[in-house]
Amino acid sequence: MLNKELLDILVCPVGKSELRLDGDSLVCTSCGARYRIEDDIPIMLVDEAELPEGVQSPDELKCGE
Amino acid sequence: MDGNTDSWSRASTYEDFMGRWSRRMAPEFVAWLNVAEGVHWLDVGCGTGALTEAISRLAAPASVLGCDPTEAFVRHAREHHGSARTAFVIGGIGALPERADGFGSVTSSFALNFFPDPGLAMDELVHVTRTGGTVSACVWDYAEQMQPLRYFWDAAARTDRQAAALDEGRRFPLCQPRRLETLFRHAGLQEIRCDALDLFLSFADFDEYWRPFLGGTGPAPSYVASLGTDRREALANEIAAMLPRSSDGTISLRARAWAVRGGKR
Repeated sequence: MLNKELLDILVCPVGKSELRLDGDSLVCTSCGARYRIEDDIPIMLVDEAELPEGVQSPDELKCGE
Repeated sequence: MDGNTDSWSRASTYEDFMGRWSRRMAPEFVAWLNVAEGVHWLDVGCGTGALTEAISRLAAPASVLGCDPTEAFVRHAREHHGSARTAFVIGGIGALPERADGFGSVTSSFALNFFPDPGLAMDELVHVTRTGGTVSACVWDYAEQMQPLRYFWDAAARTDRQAAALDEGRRFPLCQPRRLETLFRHAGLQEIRCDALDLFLSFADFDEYWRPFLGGTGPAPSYVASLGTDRREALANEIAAMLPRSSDGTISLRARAWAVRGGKR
């Protein structure tokens, strides 16, 4: 089910903010970290996330503030 | 994990090792939990999906979501146990999914003792549970009646003094009824119950017992993999001498888990 139900209950591991579906990724609506979905499995690991422009490391992410 | 060098990366070798027992324990645990039908379940630290599968098959859930930070385990779980009402997520304890109304049953099998801070992990499990829902866990009785591992570590300590520090019976004092009940009580849960669940294992011969210890995944196989050939053989001989056998050579062992549950009120 990467259906709406699953999308609705997943949260960003950085600050537990909501996510939006963007192609094959889930993007945090707060910090902008991008989490891949592979074979219908969301990879909700900060270390695996694609960071937004200008952010060098996950420590710099500002989420849920 | 607790900062040691346990290797967890390979799903198939883990399945051959602990997976063969956790897979058998999963339906026992689900039956013991006796959660009402039609609730949303969250399986935290789902590993290769043994419990997720048992919940889906036996508990008539509205849905089951399995999560685990180890990518190889979750891929294995999805491949073998995916279904219309089952989903998997790669994620750790800090990113548990949150239902607006909470999950009716949040559970974790054979994982609680591996969290760096089980108290914080429990807070997360309770947080995502709905009021009136159930939080539960099971862990192996490493210190006493998880006999396949007990014989292993007792023999390891005899052949290598340093192995005692790796003994899961020592490393995981949490895996005892009083400690588990205290952990659940401190997490604010009510009507806490903890029981022993026993499996009876039969191995045709020593090789059947021993081969999965050579797979390199999990604490005991990681230790075996760290040994040279001579010391590995000495360890195997020591265990072989200690294991109880019946007249036809079969080895019968008990695998005990502690199952614990509490209600969020």
